[in-house]
Amino acid sequence: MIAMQKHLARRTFLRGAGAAIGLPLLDAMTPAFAAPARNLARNAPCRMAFVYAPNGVDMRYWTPQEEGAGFELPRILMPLQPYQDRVLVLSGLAQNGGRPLGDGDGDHARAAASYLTGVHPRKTGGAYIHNGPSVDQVAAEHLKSATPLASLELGCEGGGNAGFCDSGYSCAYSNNLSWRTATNPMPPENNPRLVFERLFGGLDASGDAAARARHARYDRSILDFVLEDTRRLEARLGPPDRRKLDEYLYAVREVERRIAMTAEKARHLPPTSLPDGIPKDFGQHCRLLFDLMTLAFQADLTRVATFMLALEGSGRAYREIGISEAHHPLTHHDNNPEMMEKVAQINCYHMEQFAYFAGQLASVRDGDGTLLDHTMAVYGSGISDGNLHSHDNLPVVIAGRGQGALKTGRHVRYPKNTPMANLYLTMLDAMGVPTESLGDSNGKLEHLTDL
Amino acid sequence: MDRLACLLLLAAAAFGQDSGRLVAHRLNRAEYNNTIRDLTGADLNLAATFPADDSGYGFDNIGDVLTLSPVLMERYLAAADIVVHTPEAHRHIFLCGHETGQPHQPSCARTNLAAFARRAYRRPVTPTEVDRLVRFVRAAQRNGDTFEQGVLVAVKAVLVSPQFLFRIAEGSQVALASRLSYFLWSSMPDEELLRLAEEQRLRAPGVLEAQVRRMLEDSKSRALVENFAGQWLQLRNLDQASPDPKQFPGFNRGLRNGMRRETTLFFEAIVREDRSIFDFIDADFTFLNERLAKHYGIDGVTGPEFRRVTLAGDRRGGVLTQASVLTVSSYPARTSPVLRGKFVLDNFLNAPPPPPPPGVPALRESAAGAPMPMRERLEQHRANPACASCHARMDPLGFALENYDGVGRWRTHDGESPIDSPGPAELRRIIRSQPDAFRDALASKLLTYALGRGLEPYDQPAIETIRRGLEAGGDRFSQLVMEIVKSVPFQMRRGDIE
Repeated sequence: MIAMQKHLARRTFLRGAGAAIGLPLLDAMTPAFAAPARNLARNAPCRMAFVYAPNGVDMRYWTPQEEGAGFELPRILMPLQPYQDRVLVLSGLAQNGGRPLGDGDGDHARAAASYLTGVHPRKTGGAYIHNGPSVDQVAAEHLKSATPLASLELGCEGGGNAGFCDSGYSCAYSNNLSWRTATNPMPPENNPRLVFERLFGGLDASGDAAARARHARYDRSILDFVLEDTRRLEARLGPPDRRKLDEYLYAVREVERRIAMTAEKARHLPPTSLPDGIPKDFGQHCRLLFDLMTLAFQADLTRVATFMLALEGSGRAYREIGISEAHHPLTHHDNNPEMMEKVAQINCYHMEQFAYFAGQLASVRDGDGTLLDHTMAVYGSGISDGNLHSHDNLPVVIAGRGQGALKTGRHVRYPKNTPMANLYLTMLDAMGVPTESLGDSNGKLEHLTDL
Repeated sequence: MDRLACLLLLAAAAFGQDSGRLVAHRLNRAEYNNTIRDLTGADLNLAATFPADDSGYGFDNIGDVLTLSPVLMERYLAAADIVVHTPEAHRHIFLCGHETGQPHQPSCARTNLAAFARRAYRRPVTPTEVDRLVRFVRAAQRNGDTFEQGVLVAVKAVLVSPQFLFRIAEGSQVALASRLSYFLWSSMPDEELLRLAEEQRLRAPGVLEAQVRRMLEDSKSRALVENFAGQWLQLRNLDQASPDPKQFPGFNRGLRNGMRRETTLFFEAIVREDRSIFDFIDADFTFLNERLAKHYGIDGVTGPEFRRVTLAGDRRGGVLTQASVLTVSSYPARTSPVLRGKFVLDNFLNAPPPPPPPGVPALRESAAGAPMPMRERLEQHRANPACASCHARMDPLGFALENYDGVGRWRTHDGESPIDSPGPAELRRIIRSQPDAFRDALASKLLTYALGRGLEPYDQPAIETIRRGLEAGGDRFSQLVMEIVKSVPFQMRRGDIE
């Protein structure tokens, strides 16, 4: 990253490589990171990921009939069949923050905003945006000293649309899952090439080491300079502006930390091929981003990631599976069977993408097992029934054993309205980030390790 | 006016009603690109690599919503790196020194950096600020790098400084100059504007008006079309629009671009020719090429170039009958009278429909090909008194556009069913019968965009003043801009009182 020469070198390197090597991303990059994985021996770190599907799912095809082990996978979960022994299906969890609670319309905005925070976001088109820190960011803040990136936020649908998102809510709510603070969302990135450059651009050890070192030194002096600038400004400005400058300060410190860490991790990277723009095909786009997420975990560049398959309330038409209608209006099906079937097909298609991710995690050796053994990847939505906008009995499945923190291969049912945030507290424990409370949590989720 | 406005603002502040809380306003992607272009002469579109800016109140330049993340900071550094290695930029950075071919004077670092920082920060810089930048040059030279390399490190520092990345409204006149230039150009003030502000002459009689006129005439005011019209009329959503290829086999990139071009040229004509804002509702001209003319069923336009076309009849005329707007207000596989009705209410009648009453599920529309026609289903929904009041206002507006299909072609049938619509003439009549509603709608949108914040109840007097001035000025577009610039919320922000 950062260095212009490196930036260009990287571009050339990637473009040139495109013609030369057609290996899938993961295969191409794996050798470069094989050694550190061995060094980790049995102490592979635990990772957490959250994958979000918008507009709810058809729960008739989601919830297993049986509880406990040996349940039959319903239609939507079927793509997870090869990993059934390594997944955990949870029923009965709710996200109370997504409900109107007197704020009227805007269930989609609230669904995304509350999903990882457990907070009822303040209804505003812009002024005084207020949500809460999200579980991934709580983990990231505690774990970041170990990795160059505190967290990674990805998504398949770009923001930046004109007009309004959801009834009186700023688009910040429906377009972001990850919130570092109550006011600072971490935007998801869509472009696989840019994500790749972010992950590996600064790590490439080829080229002139002395020039690289000098460049890093200048960048550090520039960052010192702007920190000083910010301090001078802060003294003059009022509290709302100080909040903006705090975001800036945090970002600068993260970049500083990153420059220092990538120098340690730099190595010779193999050439690999990536498309220049964003793939048109949804599946191809998802798979590339999931490859990058897997690589980031494998190379221990971060331990925390979130992924929005599409923005909440998305009106994407999934032509890839023969559906011309926009997703969101289809979910307001009013029990029309034809529309419901199309929604179910979209739900299955989304799950196929997640299953691909689970498969990638399972294919990578990591310490004494695979990445899937050392990861907790939650898949779900902040809405269950998209037609009614319900925020209870949410669809939740976790892939991965989280280093034994999860006893997988089961379906567990919880009492109605058990807060999702309770699950997050338990997951934070497994990550070694014990946390007292998050959003509306009222305890930890039991039965994740046993019954 | 200064004294009065200031008193009003102080009064508002005393009652907790500040005409704008935020002073630091991060540049959004469009503003970043344009500012780099005008600062360095290099049009690099670097913000394409930045994460999308979230919007609020329908626009992506809302200060509260423009947050900053580590990813963005990394991209700022990478972008600054590219700028300082671009030869065009060097011509704007090096006023003296080796690159200009002149002998290298010791004072040269100061000369270059003071001039660059002043323009980048859009305000006068202090000697201390310049000293801090010059230190980069000395440090580079101590490391064995050249004078030029040192200057470029300092320039890079300027480009990632909060003083550059945020518009910081300090100092009444220079802050006003920036507000004006980011409103009309989505970019930094030029030399003339900045100098007037620095010399405290911007508020002298007639000066502001002359500047607004000059700025509107400058080609940089195209930013108003791209960024204001692009969001007010949602033209930006055309890129994501994906009409069903089975129903609309002719929809391709050429047509999509043509749709955008028509509305862009039309909006530009209203700005350049200083036409009445009511031309947005009803105009006897538009801009077409052969492809789009065919789409509209208009004969006599040949070739790929767009040209001004006089319209006959009442099928086309005004933005609401343009294919761009009709496409972005439709679903991929069908039209939606509700979406279109809401679009008109929101953007043209200043009456965003209230959310459905609690307990009433969102309106369900029938699937394409479902047995019950749309109109009957809507009537059923409207039979519920809780829904009726709102739909009574929203639906007639949307139904008036039912003669246009999901990509804006004229139609008399939807599948087998004949279209039962009052037609676009009726829609124009409805809007024209409430001229103040349209004035308020456009004024509110443009003021939101100009301020980069949502409007509050205490802005209502400003909207009324703008509306009266606009009407008195014959509803000309420049009058609307002038009234906004003169309005209290635009003139005064908290940062001005120091």
